[in-house]
Amino acid sequence: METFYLILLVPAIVALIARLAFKTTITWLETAAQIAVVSIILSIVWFAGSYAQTHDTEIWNGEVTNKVRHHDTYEEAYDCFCTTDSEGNESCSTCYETHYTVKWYLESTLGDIRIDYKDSTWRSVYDTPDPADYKAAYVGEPCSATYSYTNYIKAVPDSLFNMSDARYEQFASLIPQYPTVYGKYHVDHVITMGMGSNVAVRDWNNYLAGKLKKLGPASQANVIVILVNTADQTYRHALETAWLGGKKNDVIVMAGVTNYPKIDWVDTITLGQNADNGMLTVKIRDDLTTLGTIENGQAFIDVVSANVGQHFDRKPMEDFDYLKDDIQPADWVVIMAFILAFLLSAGLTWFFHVQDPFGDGYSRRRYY
Amino acid sequence: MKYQKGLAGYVFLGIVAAVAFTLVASYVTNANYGNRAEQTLRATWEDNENVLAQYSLKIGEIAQVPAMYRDDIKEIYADVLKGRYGENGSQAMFQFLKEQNPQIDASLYTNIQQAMEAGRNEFRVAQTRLVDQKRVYVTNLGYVWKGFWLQTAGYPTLNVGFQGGADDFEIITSEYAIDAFETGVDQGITLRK
Repeated sequence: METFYLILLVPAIVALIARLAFKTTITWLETAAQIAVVSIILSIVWFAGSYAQTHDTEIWNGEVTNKVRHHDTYEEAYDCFCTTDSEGNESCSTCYETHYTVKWYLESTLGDIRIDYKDSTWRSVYDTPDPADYKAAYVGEPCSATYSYTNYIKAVPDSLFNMSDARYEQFASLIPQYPTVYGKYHVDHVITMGMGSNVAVRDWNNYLAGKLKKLGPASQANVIVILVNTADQTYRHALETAWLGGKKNDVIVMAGVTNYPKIDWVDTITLGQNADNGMLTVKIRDDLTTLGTIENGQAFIDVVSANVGQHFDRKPMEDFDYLKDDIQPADWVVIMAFILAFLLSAGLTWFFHVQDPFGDGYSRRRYY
Repeated sequence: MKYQKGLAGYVFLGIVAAVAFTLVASYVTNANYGNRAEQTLRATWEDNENVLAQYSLKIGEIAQVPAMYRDDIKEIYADVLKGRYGENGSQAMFQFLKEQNPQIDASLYTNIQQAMEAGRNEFRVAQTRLVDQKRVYVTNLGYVWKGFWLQTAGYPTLNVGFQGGADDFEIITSEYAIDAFETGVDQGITLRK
């Protein structure tokens, strides 16, 4: 906040200097207005920047409970039968046009998932065939959606739980992008890195998604499995750094496999360096090490989902509330705010110098 | 002209009011923050002990050791975490548990080992959180504006190591680590020479 107070000094100082320099054209009311307008705009920019710093998303998992094709109509008002009288005044009546709509959506345990929407003035829109995504969907199908949450760890690079400063260049080619929702409600929960075509990833994904439709709502967990071709267990720290320790509800299970299908090592990441999930981490590691291979994807996922169901404890972000007091604005926000403060102040100084918006008789145009 | 003079007065009054508001708000905000930060530190400190106690209890339950020995388990577990028994710390724990319950079999042994490791990891994270909270508080105490108001409001009232002062919130660390940091020599490496 200290920086913000400093930035707020800019409009105040510029406005006061402008008032002294242009005594005859800028009034005290205009000075006050200038300070107020610039301060309000700066506050909006500043707090929008702060929001962007803490904003994050997580993936929730559930299942489709119903498919809905909904036909509807509504009336749209428009001006019609317009006439112009002898004095040139135009008057219109209000007419209504019927619109026909078709909405395709899926009801799910996560809420409604919109598939498509058609709006036409022709009734024939009701004959539109179902879109491919709607046809392919079925009741009981796993689904995922993205939800926003506030992430204080992300906003504080100095925190011991934010490892964004660490560098693990040796793993650059083995770090995947964080999974995102595609095709309206699908997510790949299983990722292979450097594994060739040994693993039937689609089958693993389908099986894990099937587990998550019940496990997700029950445990508030989003499980991600990463099979990676490295014997180096510090891979865990590289991924933790790249993904900022994972999202609030993530259980990221990594298995190192250099000689398919034998598992070399196993590790798990949950938010806050596995805080409150010590037992989950140990159990998954021991049980998968006992399993020994990734030959049977279902067995692997059964072990993971059983342990998540039994031991996962989602860490609430409230436990990191103390980081709120350490959030510093990003450099670009500070620079932009300073530039904006100067430009807006200069612009308003010029405006009040040449214009007289409050009609109190003081403007360069009128004065000269 | 008279109208302009009146307005000038209002603008200056507005500026004075804004400055006064900023000063009062700074004092109140920072005094509240100081209180909140110190209470959070105390709570986390107690929570660290709680984590230790919970896992000691869990280990005792898994090993089916009589309740009267649970405090001893906690003490030994704390010593294991401090590295007082060296690399064979878990063996010291098992030896004690065996003395109290000679019936410990292989599956119990695995469960105890898992609980000990999980507890150690949980305790490490709990300590990291404590250090992180202390870092945030001490950083704020050192800021020009915030630090000034915090100190004006009488903070810190706890010993948090601010400006090199005493620190009542030192984490539990292994004797090996303390030794290595104090001497600058990692004994593990020295031994191989």
